[in-house]
Amino acid sequence: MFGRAAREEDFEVAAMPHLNDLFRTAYRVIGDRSAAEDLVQEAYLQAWKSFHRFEMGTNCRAWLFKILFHVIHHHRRKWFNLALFKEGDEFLEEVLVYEEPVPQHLRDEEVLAAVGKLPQQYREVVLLADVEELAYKEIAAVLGIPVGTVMSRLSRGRKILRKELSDFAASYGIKSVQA
Amino acid sequence: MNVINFEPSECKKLRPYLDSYVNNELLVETNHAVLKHLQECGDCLLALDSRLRVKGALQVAVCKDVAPSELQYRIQRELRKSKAAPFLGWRNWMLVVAVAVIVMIGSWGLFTAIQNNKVAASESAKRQNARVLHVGLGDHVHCAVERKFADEPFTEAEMSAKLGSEFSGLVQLLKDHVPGDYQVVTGHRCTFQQREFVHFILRHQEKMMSLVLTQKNGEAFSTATIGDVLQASGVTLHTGRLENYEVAGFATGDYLAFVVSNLDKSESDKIAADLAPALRQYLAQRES
Repeated sequence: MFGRAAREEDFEVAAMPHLNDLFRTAYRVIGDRSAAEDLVQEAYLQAWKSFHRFEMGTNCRAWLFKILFHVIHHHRRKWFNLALFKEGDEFLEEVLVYEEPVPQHLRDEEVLAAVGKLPQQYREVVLLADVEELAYKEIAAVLGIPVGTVMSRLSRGRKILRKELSDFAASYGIKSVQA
Repeated sequence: MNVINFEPSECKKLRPYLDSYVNNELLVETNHAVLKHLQECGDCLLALDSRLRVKGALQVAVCKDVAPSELQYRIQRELRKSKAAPFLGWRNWMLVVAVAVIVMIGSWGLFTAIQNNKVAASESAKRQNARVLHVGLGDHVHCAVERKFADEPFTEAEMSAKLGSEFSGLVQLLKDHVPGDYQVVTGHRCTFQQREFVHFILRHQEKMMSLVLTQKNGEAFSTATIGDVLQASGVTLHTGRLENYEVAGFATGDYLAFVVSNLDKSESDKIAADLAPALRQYLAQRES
């Protein structure tokens, strides 16, 4: 009635190229490959149903991430009933000048293991900022949080990540670079 | 975006902005201040380096995760299956409903207009036919009812004399085509409202019926086949109940013919239908 075939084509052209981005983010946030596939599929179906609200030419990738995280958060609330922990908005006081030493050579499995240990909320922001390279403003829109919270979570998440990587290095007897 | 003025060697103030620096989220002024500090502070430079290395390593490691090839196929298949689900959002549904309402209103308006036109056309045809039927009715009332010609039956010789050779043959035609219990009591030429008529009155007890003929004077029955119309062997009979009389009429090329009676409609219609074809043929012979 409204040119469904054309809309389908528009949707696939705009949305399908971001499949890998969405999948790897979902996988790293959830930690389960099969669940990530289901969540990404659900996100795409929801995106299709609301595609009429999407303005062509705007940031489809960020829009898809927003839908994905809506699906992920719904999934987590449903299955894990996880309470969202609060954090202070003021991030400056949390950051110390002292930095955990980070090994010069980082192996993929160590990095991924360190990411896996990040608290969920930090992990989401770190992945969106450092891997998907979304702007603070986009991350805030995707996760529905203020930009200040994005900044604080990113800073804390990175700090935890460096600590985990430093601990890995120490466990292997590798000398880390002191920062 | 954060703007801050750094004091020299104030690492504690700088460090929190290194994360935003890495993400290129600082304003130009702040960015310059960070760069200047980094040129002077080895510790902060190492801190920046560790952030960049972790970020780079993270990108490399995570980006090795690739969606399984069948996932795209699965999603596309589910999208196709979702065709049965309504694609329209509430705005489009509202649009559909609005269009449907407009179409319904438009259709109803069109239907009503057509019906109104039909009703108007029907009413117009009925009025036109009634005006024509009143021509025959008027002469029947004038002669048979008011002047009571039926009370003084004519002999066949009198009728022949009054009708003339042109219409005297109609007496026998009437006898042949109306029920046998009706008697032709009057046959004459008369004038009513400056109009000449050939008029026959038939009677059976209290039942009285007239056959009235007159030349057309611009009148015509409606060509619309709506309203009370009978077809009798190719003759279109227009009927109506006027002033408590049943009237049936038809037109030939030059004449209007009417059957007016105090009979009920079914009997009146039957007699008119039986009489009309023969009468038309008779008049047609005169016209030719």
